[in-house]
Amino acid sequence: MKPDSAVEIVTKLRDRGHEAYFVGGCVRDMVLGIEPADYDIATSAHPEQVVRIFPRTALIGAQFGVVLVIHRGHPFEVATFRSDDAYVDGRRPTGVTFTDARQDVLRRDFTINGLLYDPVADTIIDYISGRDDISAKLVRAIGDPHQRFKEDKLRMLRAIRFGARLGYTVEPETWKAILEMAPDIHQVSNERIREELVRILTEGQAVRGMQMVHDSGLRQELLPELEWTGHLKTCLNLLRKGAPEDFAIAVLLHETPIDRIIEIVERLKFSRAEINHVVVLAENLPQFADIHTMSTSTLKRFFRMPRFEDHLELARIHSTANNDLRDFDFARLKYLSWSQSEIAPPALISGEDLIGMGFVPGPVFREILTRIEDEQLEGRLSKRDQALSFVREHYGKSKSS
Amino acid sequence: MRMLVAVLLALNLNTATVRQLESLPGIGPSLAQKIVQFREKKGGFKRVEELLAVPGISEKRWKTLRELVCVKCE
Repeated sequence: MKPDSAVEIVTKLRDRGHEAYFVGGCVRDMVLGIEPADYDIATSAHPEQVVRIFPRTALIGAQFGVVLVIHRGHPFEVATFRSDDAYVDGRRPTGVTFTDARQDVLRRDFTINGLLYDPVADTIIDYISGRDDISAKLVRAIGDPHQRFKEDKLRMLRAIRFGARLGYTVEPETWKAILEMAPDIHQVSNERIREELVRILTEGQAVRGMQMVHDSGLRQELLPELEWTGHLKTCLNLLRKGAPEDFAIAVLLHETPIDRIIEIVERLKFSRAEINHVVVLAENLPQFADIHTMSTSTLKRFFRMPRFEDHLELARIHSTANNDLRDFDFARLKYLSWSQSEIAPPALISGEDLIGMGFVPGPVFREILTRIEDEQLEGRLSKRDQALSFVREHYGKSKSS
Repeated sequence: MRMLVAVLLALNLNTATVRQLESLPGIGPSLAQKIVQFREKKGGFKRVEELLAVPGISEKRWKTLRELVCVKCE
């Protein structure tokens, strides 16, 4: 996204006599020559002043002084300069004090995220040598790393996420603090851990990220059930950026026994639908080994599973890692060779038809209808009257004709 | 005596279909469509307040909606 509307916000705040800068990830991206996805703004204006200046706003963390400003159809986070008081729960400060730009930067997590940019003067304000660390490709905590991680243990995973995604190294003192504090990660809620793990898996460089999670000791804390194998590394290397979250977790867990998988995804508080998808993916992966001997109707039913592309993609990753693509190639060609209406054609007959033929509703209905569908999927029946004759021929019992 | 308890689940803005969005008060087919377009353009909602950036969502409408939608739904 272009910075123009964000610059207008800064200008408006300045016109009212406040200080205002771009801050955080967007400045890092600009230094790297990447177009930021969104812009955060830090200002000396207090929330109630920000709310008065812009017509469309929502308070999203009034206690932290954060206002969402809607400008030209885009949401921008405008946060008042602050320093945080003591953190009690390893996540949130007990209170905040509104301060100046420098103090605001010093409370932030990593130097690469601590740069300010003045879009009017086109200058970067760097209180923490963030530009040096960007050049050196280092993720370094601002100030004392132990203190930073003590305030919020999730920052340990965030350091790894930035390191992996940007291809940076975690600076030695910061890394040492992570190694020492890894066992404290349990103080963070499982929801927040899930979110961070999922981002490490889906934002690109998943294998690098998970290797760091493993090396830091966090893997042993968070996923003790997981075996960190060469096969898994190869698989994660094949996981595409932007993959669906539940699919990414399935790739991570596909070699883990099913009952353990269920424990992990339940612990990480995935939704029912996501848990189901992960388990179904892992359970059905071995089916690809039998794919050559499946009947056409069984194969078509397999292809009809919800989000079958994910099953196919998991098979691609798993088979590529195993250096044997025969089953996957066979499945993929079959899958591509059939149209949706060939895989899931409309039913030729229904229960109504069977009642009309004099059958008494019961378990036999399912048996007959499944059989008819089998014949249809195999290509031996394609018309309604063929199906009706087939029923008469094989199940007799009809009183009308 | 039997008690009927209706459980209202908040609708996930990031996964809801146009049809599901239409079930919200004050949201018709065209607004539902706009919400989905906004979501696709932005790559998803980061917080429910971003609904305010969707053209056609007034402050008043937003106030009735905010309790009915979520983005990181549990």
